[in-house]
Amino acid sequence: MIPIDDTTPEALFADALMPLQQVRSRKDLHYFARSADAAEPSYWQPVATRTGGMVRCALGEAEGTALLEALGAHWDATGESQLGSLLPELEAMRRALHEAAPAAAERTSTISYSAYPLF
Amino acid sequence: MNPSAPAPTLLGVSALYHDAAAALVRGPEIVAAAQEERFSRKRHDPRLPEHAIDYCIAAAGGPAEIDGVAFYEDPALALDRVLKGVIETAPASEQIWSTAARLQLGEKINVAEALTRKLGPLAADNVFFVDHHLSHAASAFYPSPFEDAAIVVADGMGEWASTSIARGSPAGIEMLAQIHYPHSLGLLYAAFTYHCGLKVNSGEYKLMGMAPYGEPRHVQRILDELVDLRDDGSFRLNTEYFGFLDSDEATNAKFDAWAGGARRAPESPIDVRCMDLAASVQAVIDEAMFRLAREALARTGSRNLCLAGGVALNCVATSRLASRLNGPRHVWIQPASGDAGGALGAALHVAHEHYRQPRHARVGSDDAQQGSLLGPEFDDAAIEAALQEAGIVFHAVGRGADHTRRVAQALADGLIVGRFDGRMEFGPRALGNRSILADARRPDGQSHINLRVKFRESWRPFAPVVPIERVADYFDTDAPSPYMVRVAAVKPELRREVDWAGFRDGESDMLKVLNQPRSSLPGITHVDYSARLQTVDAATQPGLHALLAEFEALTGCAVLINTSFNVRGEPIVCSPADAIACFLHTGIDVLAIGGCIAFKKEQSAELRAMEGKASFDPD
Repeated sequence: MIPIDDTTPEALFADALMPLQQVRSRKDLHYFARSADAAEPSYWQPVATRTGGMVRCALGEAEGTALLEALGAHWDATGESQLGSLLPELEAMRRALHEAAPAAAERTSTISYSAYPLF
Repeated sequence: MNPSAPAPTLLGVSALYHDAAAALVRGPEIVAAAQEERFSRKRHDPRLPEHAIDYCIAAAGGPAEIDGVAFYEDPALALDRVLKGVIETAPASEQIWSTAARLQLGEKINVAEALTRKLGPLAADNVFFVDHHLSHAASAFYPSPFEDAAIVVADGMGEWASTSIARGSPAGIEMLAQIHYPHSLGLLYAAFTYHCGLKVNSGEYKLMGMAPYGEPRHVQRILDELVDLRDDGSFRLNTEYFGFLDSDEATNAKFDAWAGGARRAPESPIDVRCMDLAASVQAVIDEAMFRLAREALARTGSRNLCLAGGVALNCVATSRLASRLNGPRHVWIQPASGDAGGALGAALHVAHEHYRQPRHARVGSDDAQQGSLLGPEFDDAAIEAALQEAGIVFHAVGRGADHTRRVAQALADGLIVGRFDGRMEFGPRALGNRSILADARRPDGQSHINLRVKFRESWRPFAPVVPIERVADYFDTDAPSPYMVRVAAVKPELRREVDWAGFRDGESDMLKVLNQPRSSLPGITHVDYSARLQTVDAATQPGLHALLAEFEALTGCAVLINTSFNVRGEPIVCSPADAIACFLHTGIDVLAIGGCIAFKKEQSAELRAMEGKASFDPD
């Protein structure tokens, strides 16, 4: 696990996400299918939602820290509590990035819109 | 709902991906909605919509009047998908993770703080997150004229969902089933858009316009190798052919090999290979959308269909599905079907689901979208001040019959008119209030406007606008199409034969085909005789309706070209100053703005010299 004071995305990738991928790969576990499967009668899936569709929060419950905690609770509820080990690093990174982020009005997006997984 | 309680006033916001917007609803009714790009002048501006929020706050009467704010997505679940996608595709995803982390953790997860900054304490205690596809579904169902409906949402993706079917009823919206990332009709179409040298998330409509030049000869190959489309409308992509999982490219080398060549360089000549790819993926999207609609109608038992999501802006596909559905069906498409519409849907969903508001007052007879004229408007004092500040010579004739007569005469004389009137449109289409109008009969109308105003050569004809009572005289439909989200065929008796000789044998000059008069309305007739139709009724747009009537009285023709009031690469104009700048920098001959009219020929030599001097980005 990476130390909390190394809050760069690169460090999290190398020290936490890659090891998770390797464990999952060894167990042949996948978050999604990547191609057709003739054995599947249909590709329809259940509705993916954390909140049932809508959630109301007071501001304190809607801020970044609270949302990360809520995501952890979602992982626990869906049997993915191993992802919860990422939360301290995600929160540290959130704080660091949020403080460093330019004001929205100053930001000039140069991100390719083809990079869908980013959003 | 407590019937004596005042109707809640809610702000909806979509932001931080594409085409940010804000919307204001009071009870079940829409008060205001606008995209950020119109204010910031940055096309498809994704940033937090500060200006659009300010506009909505002003429409509410101040920040203290807003009871709650609804964001169109669950940022936590979006992060869940990003993390899992990166883990799934590691180590290739390392580079996109660095960018994704900054977007997700630096901005999106903290969005509530930014949203509430301008609002009062009441709104800060009522922050709502509405799932992305539920926001889209709500944007389509709640403003629709239907008491119940099947709902289809299809876009690139939301948190996880790329496709949803749902039931809308007096009890609300029930999501029924979904297709999840990375399997997505939006991403499939985006891949072909990208490969054909167009911009993802803005060039899709150009690919749709390219399709009629090609032959759909790759349909079976797409279905065999790229997407497994089932009879029940469900589908799965073969992700080996796509780059979007772990890179910032939509396609990859395997896709290029499949498509028979490398990606077309943007702005380079378009060859038959790209035209055939466009025709083929269009046919696949047509079929997929039809099967989705059929499945949603079967599951819900409804005879009404609502559509939203970016794929619903593919008016060719939605028009074809409407014509193929068995029995009497009614289809309503949210005019702002892209992410901007999510702002409206999120607010409407909170109004209905949390505050238990009734449906809008016109359910059963009409929609609640108000012609999608939901943006800012400017009074004549503000308009005249802007004209004077710019040094424009103008005629202040008021907004009555004299104004209509003068503008109609200018159009009949073959002049190009920039029309700025009333509230700005919400959604990607200019529907007459921020439009460039011209005579659709002019044989060179297409190239005339493209070269003098839009500064582009285009293979797409312009859209027609026609009074609803006259539509059947020109097109093979009598159905209203107030939002320009449907296509219709020009009547056979108006068509002229197109000479395609040599086109597929190496020449493939699209403009040579396009510059042939394909009907007696060449400016609006595509090479397959289709047109992206807008109908106008006197109740919703009395000024534009009167102008069309006057133009018909002068010319015998009730159809005008309607294209967006902007130049290439810029958003549609919002303010009088934007309109004046576009008038001066382009070949627009007449500016009809509020109760004023300005003629280019009457301007000073210095102002006339500005024509053609604007710089612009490729769109």
